[in-house]
Amino acid sequence: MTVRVEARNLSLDYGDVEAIRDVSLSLADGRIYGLLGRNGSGKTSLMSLLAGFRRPTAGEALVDGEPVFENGNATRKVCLIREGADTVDSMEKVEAGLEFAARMRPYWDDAYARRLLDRFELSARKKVGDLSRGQRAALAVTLGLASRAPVTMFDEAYLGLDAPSRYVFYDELLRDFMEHPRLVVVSTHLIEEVSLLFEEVLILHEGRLILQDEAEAFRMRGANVIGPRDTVDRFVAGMTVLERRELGPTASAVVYGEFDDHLRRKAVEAGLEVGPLPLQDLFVHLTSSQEGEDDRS
Amino acid sequence: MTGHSAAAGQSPGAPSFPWPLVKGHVSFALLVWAGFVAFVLVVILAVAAVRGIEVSGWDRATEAVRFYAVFIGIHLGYSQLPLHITHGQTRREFAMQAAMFAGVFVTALAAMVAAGFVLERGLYEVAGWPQDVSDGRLYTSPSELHWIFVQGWLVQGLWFVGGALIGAAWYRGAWSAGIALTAAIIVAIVSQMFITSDWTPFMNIYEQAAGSADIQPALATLYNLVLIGGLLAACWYVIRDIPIQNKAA
Repeated sequence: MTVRVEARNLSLDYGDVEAIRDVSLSLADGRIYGLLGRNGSGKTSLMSLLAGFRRPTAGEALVDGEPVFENGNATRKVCLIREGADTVDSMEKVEAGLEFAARMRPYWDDAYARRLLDRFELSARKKVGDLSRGQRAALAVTLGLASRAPVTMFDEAYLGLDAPSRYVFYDELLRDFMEHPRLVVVSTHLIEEVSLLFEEVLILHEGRLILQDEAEAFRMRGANVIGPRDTVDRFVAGMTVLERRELGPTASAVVYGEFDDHLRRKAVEAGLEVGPLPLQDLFVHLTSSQEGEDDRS
Repeated sequence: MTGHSAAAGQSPGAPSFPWPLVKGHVSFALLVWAGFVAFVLVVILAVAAVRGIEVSGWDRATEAVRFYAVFIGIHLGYSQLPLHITHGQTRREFAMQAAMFAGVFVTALAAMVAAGFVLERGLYEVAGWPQDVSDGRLYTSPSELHWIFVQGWLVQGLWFVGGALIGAAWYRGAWSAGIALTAAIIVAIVSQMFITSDWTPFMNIYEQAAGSADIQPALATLYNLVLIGGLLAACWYVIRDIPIQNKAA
């Protein structure tokens, strides 16, 4: 059995505010998707619709072709984890939270949950309400990973973790995904830190899906050119430069646009190094240029 | 190729009877009840040391049980509802499970109220005190355990469902909480009017509705069941599409 998530002309309004506008997408099983967007772009709203946490104002959110909202067949396949560990009663102990998840989650792996608690150095005897922000985030991602839900979504759930714990999360996410492939969606602000996990990238901007593409194809939309300052400047003249940095006589320029083999060869012949396009720079470029277009229209 | 299968012993189907919720809350209520009975008996003995005992202490003390019921109702609507939905349950499934839980929990509370009278009777018989109850109850004597149970069930049931309504509405937002609280208070007053005869100035309304100022247990039971049904309908109206909010860490 494989799982598929779709959105068809999905919209969500909060009063006069259009949080999600006419979003259509299709997500396949066995992939890790990165959901990127600036603050207020609609990432949480979109994930809430896909998990059945909210009723769409218009359009449909589907899991395996069935509407998600108020459909237990669909919602039991979905696990959306937010940072606040709001899937656990804060008056209970961590242990009770795991027991509750074990009862509610049909794909739950209790032994794996216990291993994750050990990795995050989190005691099951602690009361959830007494946990620090980082510990709550650790508990939240533990519940998400151990849910083994066919559709697992993390809505910036790990942002409260310190750097070593975040790397534990990335490591566990990738390892568990390899052993138990499923459809994973990760929304984040820490784009560069987590971008290597993504197989496909979605960018939301002002409630609209402005891009859905393979992460690799995404990175091929430009390059990072590094070398002597004058050589770099001559080489990138006429190109769209997203970011330029200098360190002594060396410069690096992030260029956007088709960067084919011919250009790569020319760059190497000129004594330049060509690296992949940083996802974060491209994200900033796309969302700011989109803003410009919106302003002009 | 990916494949997803439920964990051993787990069914991806609809949830069944809410045993964990029932076991957790009923066993805790039993502990609270045991402590409460002991506390009331101690207070009765303390009063007896300074003056004569003329009425049932437990009869007065059970007025507090409704506040326990409303608290658990609020907890169910405000905390348990979003918790269950974030774990993949639908609002309809939760509502059904909550209704089953409410039925069992309220029955347990009513049985505990009635059992308290039995325990108190033992003390009163030994001491030779009269175990009189207040006027304006569905029961006129502590020996009418069936009516004690019915009144306990109706009052606790109404306050529990009212609490669930307030809790769910509170989760939904401040405005809906205000409306739900107002509605629940009005319903509680009307309910009390049907059960007790000392609720002036509302007794005129009661007299017109019931045809007499005397409490008619069967009629009062019927009216209260209608009120509980109305509160249940209001609960469903509030939770049928309740959005699950993103709580800050």
